[in-house]
This record gives sequence, structure tokens and C-alpha cells, in this order.
Amino acid sequence: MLQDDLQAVFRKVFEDSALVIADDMSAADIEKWDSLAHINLVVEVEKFFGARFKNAEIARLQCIGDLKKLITKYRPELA
Amino acid sequence: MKQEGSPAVFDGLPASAGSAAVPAMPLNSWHFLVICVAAVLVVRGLPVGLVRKAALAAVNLYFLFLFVWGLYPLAALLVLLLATYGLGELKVRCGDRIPGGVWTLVIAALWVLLFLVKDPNLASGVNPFSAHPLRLVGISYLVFRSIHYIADAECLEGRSLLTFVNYAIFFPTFLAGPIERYERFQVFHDSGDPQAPMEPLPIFHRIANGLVKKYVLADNLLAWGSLSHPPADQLAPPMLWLSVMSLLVLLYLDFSGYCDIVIGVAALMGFRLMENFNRPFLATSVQDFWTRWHISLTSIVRDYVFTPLSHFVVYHFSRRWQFPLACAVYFFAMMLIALWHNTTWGFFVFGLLHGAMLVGLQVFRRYGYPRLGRGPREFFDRSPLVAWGSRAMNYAFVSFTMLFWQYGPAESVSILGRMVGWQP
Repeated sequence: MLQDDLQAVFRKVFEDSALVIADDMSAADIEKWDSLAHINLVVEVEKFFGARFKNAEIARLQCIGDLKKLITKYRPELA
Repeated sequence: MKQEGSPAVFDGLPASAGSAAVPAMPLNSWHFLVICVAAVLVVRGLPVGLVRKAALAAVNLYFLFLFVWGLYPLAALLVLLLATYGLGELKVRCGDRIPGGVWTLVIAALWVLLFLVKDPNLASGVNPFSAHPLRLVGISYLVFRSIHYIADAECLEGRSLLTFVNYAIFFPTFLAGPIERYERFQVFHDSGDPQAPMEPLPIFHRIANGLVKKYVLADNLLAWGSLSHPPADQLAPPMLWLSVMSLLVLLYLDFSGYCDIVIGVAALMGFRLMENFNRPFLATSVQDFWTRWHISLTSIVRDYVFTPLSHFVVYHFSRRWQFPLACAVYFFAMMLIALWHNTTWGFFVFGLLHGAMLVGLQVFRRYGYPRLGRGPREFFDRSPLVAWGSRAMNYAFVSFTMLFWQYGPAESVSILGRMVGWQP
């Protein structure tokens, strides 16, 4: 559920309908994932999952697994 | 703004760590070696606990007193440390009862403080440090650690005053970084990790490399690379080219050599510090360059300036305004990095040029690149020729713009003119 929803957000942000995400993937694995794309991604995730992340939490995101953990912190039912 | 031509070129680097008011202690001195040996014995020899933390604090304070002396700077340092720790605790304990805007103002105030202390002539009418200049070595790095600690306090594990003091004044990073993050430092400081077996030979190898890079190569060649000896007007165009194009490499040898030494010393103590460089000469653009050069500085600006501002912009503004405002944030962050080095017109122009290049790159990615045909796009993305051409152009761009670090805009343009045989 979370995997599918998050993947849909990634595909929208990076405009790549074939993109498949995995927990250990990071900005180094997706070519268009630069600083600005990172912020766009975070805001899309926040709006989709109805959460508002703190700056300190955003700064600590290293990989997609971290993003999933952060989402489930605000939406524990998705864990 | 300050005048160009001062020793400002190497501000923030160990070469300028010792000002007229404080004694300089080179990292290749016996004194530094003795301090390092004492620190390694303390951290490796004592069991994990309060005694070891206190002993490390004593070593850190001894080192600090070699550079910071006098009631005024020591009082200022004490106030900064206690205020940072106190505000961090207040933020954690009060949680959402204190609006987020208050902490934004605190962080902004620390940035303002940083610039006012660094340049007492800046806004001299309202700058309290204009009448009472504060000479505090490593102040930039202290303020950056304060910004990080307060901004992230609620996410930091193992907060204690003693750990924080050791983090803030940790002697290997005190003078010029790397600007370590608290959570990484705390793990090595508080846990049994420093007791883990180490492989000393690679560490000694790295320290030796650092000593050669900084004290053999950079210190002997930097004056030539920065066109101060012999002066630029005595050099023929080919030698000017060689001099200007070598400055970036020499600065790299200087600063990365210093980083090798302090990262190596910390590693001997059992602390794994963050890296400050990641093969910067392979950067294919200005944006790429600043993710590879002085990484601990650029990541501080990214995390505590770029990210919150662009997050605010993307969250609150319509799509129409998001891109231009995000470009403005990019530009602002770049100006901040440039002017942090020094508030001279030269650094202002340096920031303008790098900021403009950064924004230009965003505009190209958004509007230019998608309009290229599939063939040109694939060539652009995959051709080694484009990759190496981009690296060469980026190297040249950074090298040319670094001229502005030392010379005012007019003199830099004159030097660039002479390089291509144009005499104004």
C-alpha cells in the first residue's frame, strides 16, 4: 500500500511512469533527483499523505527507506 | 564591504587561523603533535564514561586557550555555548508550544551575528562589533554548529552539556572544520565505538598525505598560484594562464591537506568525521562542484537555508511562482556561501557569477533540455566528450571566478584581459 502510493508520487514528481522504487534507493540512483526535485518530492509526499514534516526530519532523509519511516511516523496505520 | 587585497583569499583555512591577536600553531608543529598524542591516549586509554568526557574536554579547552584568550572573547564564547545548549533544551522541552517562527528567527539571528562578527565594518552604524571587534578564531564554525544544534535539537539523541561542549570545541575541527553534525559526533563520543580496534597504518598514511599536500606543496606554491609573488603585472600571458589555472588545485591541496590531517587525528581518537571533499575536479557543473567542495559548509547551507526556504516556497506558492522563487533561493544560498568567505566586492561578484550560473543551469534543465531532440539529449547525457568538456569548462569557470576572491572586480577583469592579450 505505502510502497504503491509512494511509487506513484515518485513517478509523478520525476515524470517517469516506469520508475520502480526500493528502500535503499537514494538521490544517487535517480538522475533528476537534485536539491529542488527533493523539495518537490517532499511536498508532494506531504500533501498526498497528509503530513507536515519538520525541517530537521527532511534534512535527515538519506534514502527511500527513511522517507517511508518518516511517513509512518505521521501515519502509523500505513506501517 | 572590506577592501580586496588583504590575506582574505585563504580566510576560513588554517593559514589564516592565527590572526595578529592570537598565536598560530601549525598542524605540523611539535606542540600540535603532543596535543594529539595526549588526546589519543585519553580517549583510547580511559574507559567510556564521565572521566573520559571530562579529560577530552580538558584537552579541547587547552587547545582552545592557545587561540582564544582574554575576557571578552572567552565570555562571548561561553555565552554562545550556553545559549546554544539552553535554546536546544528549551526547544525540546517546549515542543510545539513555541511557534516554529521563533526558531526561524533565532537561526536567522545567528546568521546575522556570524556576518557582523566576521566583518566589524559591515553595517557599522548598527554593528555592535564595530566598536568592540570580537577576535574569535573559528567563530564561523562555532556558529554553524550552533545553528545545526538548535535547528535539529528535537532530533538529537544523547544531549548533555558536556557532550555538547566537546562537540562545539572538539580540537581537531575547532579551527576550520569539517563542520561535523552532533548526532555523528555523539555516537563516537558517548558510545564504546572509540574503543573499537583501529587500523593505524591507513590513518597515518592519510595524515602524512595531508602534511605533504598542505605544508610541502600548497604552502610553497600558493603565493604563486594566487598571483601575489610574483605579482600579476609582471607575468607574461602564458604564465598568467598557468598561475590562474593552478590556483584551484593549490587551494584544494591546502584545504584538503588540512582536512586529511584533522580527519586522521580524529580517526586515531576513534571519531569518524565527515569528508569535506569528493573529487571536486570531476564536477560537470557549478551545482555539482558545490556538492563536492567544502561539503560540510555547503550541506549546512543546504539544510538550514536552502531546504527550509524552498520548502516554504513549494508548499505555499502556486506552481507559477514556485520555479522563479526556487531560483531566487538558489541564488541567495550561493551569495551566502560566497559572502561567508569574506564580505568584499570580489566575493560579491564571485557569488553573483556562481549564483547566475546556478540559476542558468536550472533554467536550462527546465526549459532547454526537454526541447532538445531525443538524439541530442542522449548525446548530452552519455557522451564522454560532453562529460569531460563539461568538467574542463567548469574547472575553468571556477578558476577564473576565483580571481575575484583576491582582487577587486576591476583588477580581476584587467588580469583576465591580459590573459587574452587585451590591455585596457
